[in-house]
Amino acid sequence: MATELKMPQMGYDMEEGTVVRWLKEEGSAVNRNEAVAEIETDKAIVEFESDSEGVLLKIIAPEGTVVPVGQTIAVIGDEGEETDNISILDLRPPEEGKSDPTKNATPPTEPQESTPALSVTKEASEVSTGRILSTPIARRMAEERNIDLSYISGSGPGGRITKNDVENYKPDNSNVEKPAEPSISVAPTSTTIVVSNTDSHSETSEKQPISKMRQQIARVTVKSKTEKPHFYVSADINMTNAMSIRKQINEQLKDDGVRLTVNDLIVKACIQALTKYPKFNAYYEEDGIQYNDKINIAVAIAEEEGLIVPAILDCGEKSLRQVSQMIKDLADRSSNGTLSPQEYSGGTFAISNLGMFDVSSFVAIIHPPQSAVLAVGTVSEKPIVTDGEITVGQVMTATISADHRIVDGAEGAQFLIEVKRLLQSPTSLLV
Amino acid sequence: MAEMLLRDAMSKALREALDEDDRSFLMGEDIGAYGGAYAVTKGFLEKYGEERVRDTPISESVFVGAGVGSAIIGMRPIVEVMTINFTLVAMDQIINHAAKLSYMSNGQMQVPLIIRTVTGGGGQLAATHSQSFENWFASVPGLRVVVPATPYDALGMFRSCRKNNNPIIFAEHALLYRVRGEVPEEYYEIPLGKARIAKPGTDVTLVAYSGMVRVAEEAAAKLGEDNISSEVIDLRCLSPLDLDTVIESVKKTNRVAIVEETWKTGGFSGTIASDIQEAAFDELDGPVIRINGPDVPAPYARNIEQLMIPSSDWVVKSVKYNFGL
Repeated sequence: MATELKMPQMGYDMEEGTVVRWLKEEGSAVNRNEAVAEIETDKAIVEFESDSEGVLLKIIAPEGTVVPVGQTIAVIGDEGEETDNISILDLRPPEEGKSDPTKNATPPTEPQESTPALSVTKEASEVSTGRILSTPIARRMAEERNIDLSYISGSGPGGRITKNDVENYKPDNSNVEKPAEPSISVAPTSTTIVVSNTDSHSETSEKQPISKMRQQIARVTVKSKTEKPHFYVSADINMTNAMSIRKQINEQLKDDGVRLTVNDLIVKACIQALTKYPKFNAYYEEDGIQYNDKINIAVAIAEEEGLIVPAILDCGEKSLRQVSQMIKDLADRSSNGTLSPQEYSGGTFAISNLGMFDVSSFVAIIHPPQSAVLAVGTVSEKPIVTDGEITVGQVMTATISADHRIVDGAEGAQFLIEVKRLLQSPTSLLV
Repeated sequence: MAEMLLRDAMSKALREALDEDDRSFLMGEDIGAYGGAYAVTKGFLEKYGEERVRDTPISESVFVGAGVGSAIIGMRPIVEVMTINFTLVAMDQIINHAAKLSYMSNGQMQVPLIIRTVTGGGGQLAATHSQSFENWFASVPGLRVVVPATPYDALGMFRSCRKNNNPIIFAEHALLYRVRGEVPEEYYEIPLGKARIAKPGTDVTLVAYSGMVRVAEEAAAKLGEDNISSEVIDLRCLSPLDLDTVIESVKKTNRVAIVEETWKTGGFSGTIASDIQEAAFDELDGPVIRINGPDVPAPYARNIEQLMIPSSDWVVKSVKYNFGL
């Protein structure tokens, strides 16, 4: 029985992917969970593993082809099996001017009888970077109602937007996409954008093309800010004890290769706070609140073109030392591009740390489908007043951004105060 | 209102023809002494005599030709070809003579010939006796193709056929003869080329004819269990075709599936699908679905034969998948 390998959804807002390279040829044997191709998403190049075993009968999407999520890219089956009756939706080469011109585009495969090719109007294709599948009447209705199709998630086959999807779309932006998987995209902070815009040549009138990552950041931040009603709670945290315990540990365990960062302590504090306040580790969905069994802390990492927010997975039960190791490993692998799709997209809560810059505080945009993000500034010496006495302490300002649909201000304060309590009595992070 | 089988409705239609019109006579294989392969003309020979109920040799080309000839000179012949599979032998008479003579003689000749024939599979009669060729005839200008699905329509449309001066293929589905339906005592006619809304609905249009109307109605009932409201359209005639009723329905439901028993390649569903998308492209909320039998000769084995005839489950699955319902 032949099975179809389909373009995987690696991130809830991934609409299409590019087949960069086939690692197997037609006719070669494929084991279950063996990598068969490299797929490029908006974020990264990821190895795509076969979910069934057999012989790679047919490659449907040649290298360089852009394929919508859910459509067949190859067929696996028994040796000599016919593949003619496998139904194939349409493929298309990368759009001109939008994709890497060095990639060889292959013309679309002829669609087969039972699955007609879908056409997209110019208007529809212009509103977003990805191709939007939609039915003729859905397009007409969207135009009549002045709705941008890119804000609508399709319920039809292959994610096609149908009449019902347009009818059910609520322009007040309460129409939240149900994430099939957690997000692969970024939890951007406004500061990174500022940094990248300090180019002295910005006077030039030439228009710079927008990179895929920047398009993605634009889309995700707009989506988050229009759909998620953010609120913010800030607190000053006295980090004096935390800094001293960190210094002590690093000195004593230097030979074991332990090198704790301030961020490790913050991550660990958040993990413990999330265990106590699981709403901050949940997703808001139209039909209910989706609590996540695991705690996956995403950390924002700045890259040349923008930023990514990969997560350390299932860290709810991990010790401080393990958390530290996981974060170091995550950073190493993000720089050599070997993160897994799950790490890219699996975050349940995010931390954005600009402590390396001398900034006191900032607020971050929540990274959908997550419900909260903690933004921390630098740790600096400040006067601390206790019982009328002024001492010098090390202070950090932390700001939680939270989705008001899922939590209220008082809960935001409770969560933040718990993080504060843990960091101010850091021995609780060690046991 | 009396209920009757489609078989009895056809018998009634033929008796009316013989009773009311001296020019009418029946001709075909086994229709007299044997009473008809499907018992439609049982007792006719005794009542009307062998001048008007004529048994023929196994020679379709000859007796269809005789029907054409007698129609030209003013008779109103009703020729029975035992099954549509046997029309293949008489194709030249049907297509090159019956369908053309009026055109080629500038109307000097009329061919008011009704060819009754039995269509469809599902009776374990294997590859050569299970076919449906109505779609072929529907592609020939000059022929009328009538495909009733109910006893009421069979009688009502046959009455209209008798008044029509064109050659007509009147195809009765073998499995419908035992279908029972209401037929009023009082006289009525059903005009040719007027489709019937078998069941009104709002979410999806199911277009069918002949034996597939029942499949579409069953599918509509099953879809109804999931709160999907189907409108079932019985085309009644393939030629003339009532496209307006189909388009009106599609404009309402925005989704359409066409169910047809014969092979997908060259099926009449393809013509209808093309007409729909040309006339109502911006109304469509998904592809125009064609549900046809697969392109293989009919197998004899019952289990395999059943698999190749469109079923209500097949329709339900296809509708739900293609429209994301």
